[in-house]
Amino acid sequence: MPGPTEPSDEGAPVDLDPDFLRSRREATWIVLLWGALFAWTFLYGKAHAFAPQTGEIETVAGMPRWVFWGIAVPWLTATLASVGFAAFVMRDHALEAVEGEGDEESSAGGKEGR
Amino acid sequence: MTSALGAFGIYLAGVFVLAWWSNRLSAAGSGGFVSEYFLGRRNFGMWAFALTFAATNASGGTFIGFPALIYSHGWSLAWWIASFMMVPLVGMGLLGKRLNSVARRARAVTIPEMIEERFGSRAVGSLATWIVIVFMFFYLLAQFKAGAKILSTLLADVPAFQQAVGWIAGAADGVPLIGAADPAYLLCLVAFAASVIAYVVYGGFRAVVWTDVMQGFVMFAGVVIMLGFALSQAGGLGNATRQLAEATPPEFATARLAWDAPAERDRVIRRGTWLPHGDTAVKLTADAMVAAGAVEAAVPALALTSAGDVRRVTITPAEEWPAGLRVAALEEIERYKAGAGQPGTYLSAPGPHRSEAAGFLPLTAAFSLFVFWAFGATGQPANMVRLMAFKDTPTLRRSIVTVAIYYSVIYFSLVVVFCCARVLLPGMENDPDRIMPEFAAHLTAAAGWPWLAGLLLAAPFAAVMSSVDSYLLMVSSSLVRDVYQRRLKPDASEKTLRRLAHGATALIGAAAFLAILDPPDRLQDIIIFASGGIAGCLLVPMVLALYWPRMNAAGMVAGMLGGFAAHAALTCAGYLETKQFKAGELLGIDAFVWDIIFSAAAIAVASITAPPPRAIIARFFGRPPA
Repeated sequence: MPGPTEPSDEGAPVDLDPDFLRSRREATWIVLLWGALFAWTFLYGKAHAFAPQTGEIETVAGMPRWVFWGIAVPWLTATLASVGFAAFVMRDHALEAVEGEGDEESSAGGKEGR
Repeated sequence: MTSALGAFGIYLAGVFVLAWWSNRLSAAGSGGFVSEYFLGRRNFGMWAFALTFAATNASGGTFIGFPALIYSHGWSLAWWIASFMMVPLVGMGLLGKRLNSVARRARAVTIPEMIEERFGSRAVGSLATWIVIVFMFFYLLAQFKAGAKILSTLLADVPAFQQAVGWIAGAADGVPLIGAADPAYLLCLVAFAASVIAYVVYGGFRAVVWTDVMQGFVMFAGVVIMLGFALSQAGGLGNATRQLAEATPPEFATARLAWDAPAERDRVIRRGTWLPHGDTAVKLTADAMVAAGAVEAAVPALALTSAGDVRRVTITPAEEWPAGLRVAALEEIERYKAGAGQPGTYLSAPGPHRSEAAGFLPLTAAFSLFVFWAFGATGQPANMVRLMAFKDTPTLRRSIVTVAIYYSVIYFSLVVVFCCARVLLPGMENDPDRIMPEFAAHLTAAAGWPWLAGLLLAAPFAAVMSSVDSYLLMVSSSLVRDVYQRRLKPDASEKTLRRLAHGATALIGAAAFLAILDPPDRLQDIIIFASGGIAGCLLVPMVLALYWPRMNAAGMVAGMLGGFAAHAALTCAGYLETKQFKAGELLGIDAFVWDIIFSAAAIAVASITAPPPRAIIARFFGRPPA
């Protein structure tokens, strides 16, 4: 079955490389993930980080409450998401060997999926 | 200090052993010299790729400037640096696979070469080459200075070093160019520059990568050890946070000193001396020169303002003073514009600030920085060239995991460590850049392991070295590969290229050394200009070049120039407003954000011209031949 193509002024459309399309989808997910974590830290920080810390100080795990929920927890989430993304979402594909560079092993680990 | 110096010496010896080993590996491999010297034949595995990426991103700022900011402004720095939670995934995952694949299809060794092939245009390649050379050279200067400063801090109390400084001062006196330089700084700059240039010239990219690996481990170990010591000595993080809540920013003032009888001889009351004054403590922030016969002196000083801070400082023993020395009065008192007299200011945003009434981190700055750290790192050519060097995609995936964990530990731990430093070592606000070496010495001495200070101080030194070597090679690769080999002499022999690569690397290092002999006061502003500027020029054009087949040469040029124009215009506006070399913040938002907006807009306009040739689209986006 023919895949997506890129139109060209000079003749037949170009059949797009499935690896390129896969990489583009992965890049889109990365930007969306960044956006979600940005929204979390920014909105939580806007609501709580500027509150004066007077009287009895409320800490969670030794840090101010807003740092724990607004920075530390999203940071842990981002780290787990990065690990999960790299392990389960990102796909392997073969990388072209470059003639004359002696990198025969370059494509060995990158054949078709995992 | 001698044992600390020994630990530091072992670290340096390790760097040279790795460079030697890398050179042997290079000689044993097959393939062209240029590809090996500038890209290590793109066959790096997980540890090499992950740690060279991580270490290159951690520069002198990570271990000198960032700790100084945490110390000065408290917990709000956790928000300031929060975008690093996404740097591994965005910086490696967004461009990694595509950049590596396109570079292989282009058979490119450098970023400008890849851009030239992708668009089939020498003009586009030339523009990228000069952008890389100019901006990277600024980076190089800043890191040379940071390396020399760290070394001079480490060696300051070593008698042999002081003797050598005296000898250098005599030898350099009257010599053009170097005669005016501070002799201690000069000696350290010579040592730092010579060692970095030597191992980069000798081992090329492979040596840079493997020394980065070692430096990455040193940084990690340094931070983890400091974290353990700091938490232990502060009585736990909760205790440190509660004590930090009681702290208030110090006041800067002129201390009028007086003593009982006229001084019998000229003498100096040293900078750093702590004196009692009522219920507070005052630290002299400059040497007080006392002339024979004088009974008083005026000297710049810092006064603590919270009882907890006063309890923790050690008043300098009275035998070091003129008899009856006291602080008669504090005059010309300067209070912080944000946070003065407010307990809790170190725990919340925007954090205290000496000169800005809006505080350290207003909301717009938090917004800008979350964009800047993640995407600014992605747009750095030193990172991009590393993305061209991993051997396969499993390596990329494992490296993302490794760097994600590595950065989480390093950056969040640094925030914790230097919040503890503000509690345990108050009164460093007059020279916060010294907090890293001072706190390392304080922690290890208190723990009874002073030799460990050498390893802890090796961490910032390693961070600087791992950045300098990368920038040095970036600039020389652009000159040798992009300018000489591709423009002037495509048929140059391997022998010629080898000599030229070694010569260019040494020459650029020497030029940076000479240019930074007399470092400008506001060098940090130039670094920010260079880092924001190059990412603003390259980020959006590179992303679209890799993911949008319709992107053409006109769009690439417009994107790079659009980003540059926005950055230059905002820098000019900033200079007119503040008289400092600092980009203006339109609507309070950092220049980098505007750079990428203007860059994207310029690409959108320019790309309405003809699409790229079919052959280009097929080569870089089409199915590979079966």
